[in-house]
Amino acid sequence: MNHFTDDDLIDYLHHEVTDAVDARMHAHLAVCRDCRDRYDAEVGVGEMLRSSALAEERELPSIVKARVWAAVRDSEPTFLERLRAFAAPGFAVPVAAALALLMYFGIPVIRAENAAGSPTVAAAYYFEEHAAEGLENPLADHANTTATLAFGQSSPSASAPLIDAADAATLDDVAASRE
Amino acid sequence: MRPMLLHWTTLPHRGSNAALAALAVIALFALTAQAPPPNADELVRAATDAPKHISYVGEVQSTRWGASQALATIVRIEHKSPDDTRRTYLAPQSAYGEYTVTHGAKTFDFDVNHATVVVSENLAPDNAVAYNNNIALVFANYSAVEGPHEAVAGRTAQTVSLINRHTGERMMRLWIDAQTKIVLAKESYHSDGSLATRMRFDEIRYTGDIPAGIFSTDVPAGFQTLAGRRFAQPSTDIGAAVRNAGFTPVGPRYLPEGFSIISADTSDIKGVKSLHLLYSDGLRNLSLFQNASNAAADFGSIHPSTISFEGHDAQYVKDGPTTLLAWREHGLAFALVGDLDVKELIEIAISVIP
Repeated sequence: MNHFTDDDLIDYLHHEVTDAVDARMHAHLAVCRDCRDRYDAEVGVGEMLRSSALAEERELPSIVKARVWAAVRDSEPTFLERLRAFAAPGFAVPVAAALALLMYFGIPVIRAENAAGSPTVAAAYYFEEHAAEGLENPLADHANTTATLAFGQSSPSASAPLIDAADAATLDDVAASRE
Repeated sequence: MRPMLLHWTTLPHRGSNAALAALAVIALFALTAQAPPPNADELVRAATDAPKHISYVGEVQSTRWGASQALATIVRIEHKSPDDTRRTYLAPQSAYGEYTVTHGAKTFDFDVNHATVVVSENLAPDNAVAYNNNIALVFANYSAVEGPHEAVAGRTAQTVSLINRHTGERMMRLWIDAQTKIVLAKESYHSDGSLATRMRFDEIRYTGDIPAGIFSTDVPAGFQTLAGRRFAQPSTDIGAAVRNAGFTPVGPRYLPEGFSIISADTSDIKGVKSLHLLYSDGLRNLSLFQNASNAAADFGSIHPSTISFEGHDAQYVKDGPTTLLAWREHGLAFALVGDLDVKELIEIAISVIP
């Protein structure tokens, strides 16, 4: 009787042999005690590995995790996923607060009075009034008047105000020049 | 008694035929000789007056510089003397196609993007007295110095610099069309010499043959007409404006050399009575606004810079070459607006002591 090798038994165990070999080995294991013991030993090893894997979670190698997350990030979210993310409180609440602040500070009409309850005068009014009365000046730039009224709502160039970041050092310069 | 009539035929002969011949030669010379070229003062005066007599079409590029940014516009302009002007914006893109039509004191802003027409009125340029006073102020504070001829938009232009008599600094340079006296280009400068504004014709053609429809103010279908601001003629009666303010106003004890008060007026802004004092040195203007309603300046979405001087917290923003400085003191709220540096505005603000 020709006995089967361990490799043959492992292939048989994992159904990786042809139907003819599978039938022949099945018949042999039924009558060969030696081959049957070695087959049972291979089955036992497999069971032990499977039980061990189920018993404890094993950390994936970091490179594998990185690749998994890269694949997740690269995948396009669906419309529903985007909608869900937008409506999430962690995002929606700050956005709503920012919009409220923008409306409050961005539209002077909404707040006729300041926090202290005092009335206010729009800075645009001062700029417009200054520019308009300055047209008495015979060399005033009449063609550029609308550009001067950068704050003005009626100006074609109002959408492109030229407001500079002020120079914080200015006051120091003044103080230095007065000393 | 019959009145004595004086006819040329009755004029006594006072000289010989030779003398008459000499006079004729002199008269002929006077008629044929070219008039002497106008001096720089006369050139500037003629330039301010030229648009009332000269019609033209052209394209103008304007740039305003702030401390760190610049805003440029390109406008197609049609002007029919004396006072009809249309300006159509070609750039920037956000203003492309928008146009304004000015008839004298009235201006119609056609916003094609929002389908609105804003009608505003400004009587300040029509104030002939103030206009003449300002011309006098220009020559009192600035000396006009002719420079070389230069070509602008294919035209020969006489350059004239306006030099501040007090500081010696050039504050403005004009390129005046040698033939028509229209200002073809203009530059104004900050007090440190840096460029503040520039206007320049890229092209110009003198013609009075401009279709009337160009200056039409008919509101296009679907457009909404909105009432804009109406700016009254500022009063030169400073005392009356001050009395009308309803509170005891204060003025600056310090002004840059050459500045003097030229007009004042009071206005009611949603219940806030505000006094506006306008100072000028002929080229640069300075406005001091004040109210006793504790009404501070509202900067809206613009973030002003905060500074303090003499124990007062103040805020300021710059709109190109123009700066607004606002602060409160002794129950009065002040706003100082001027084509001056912040340093100069602070010096003036410090001198405003209630």
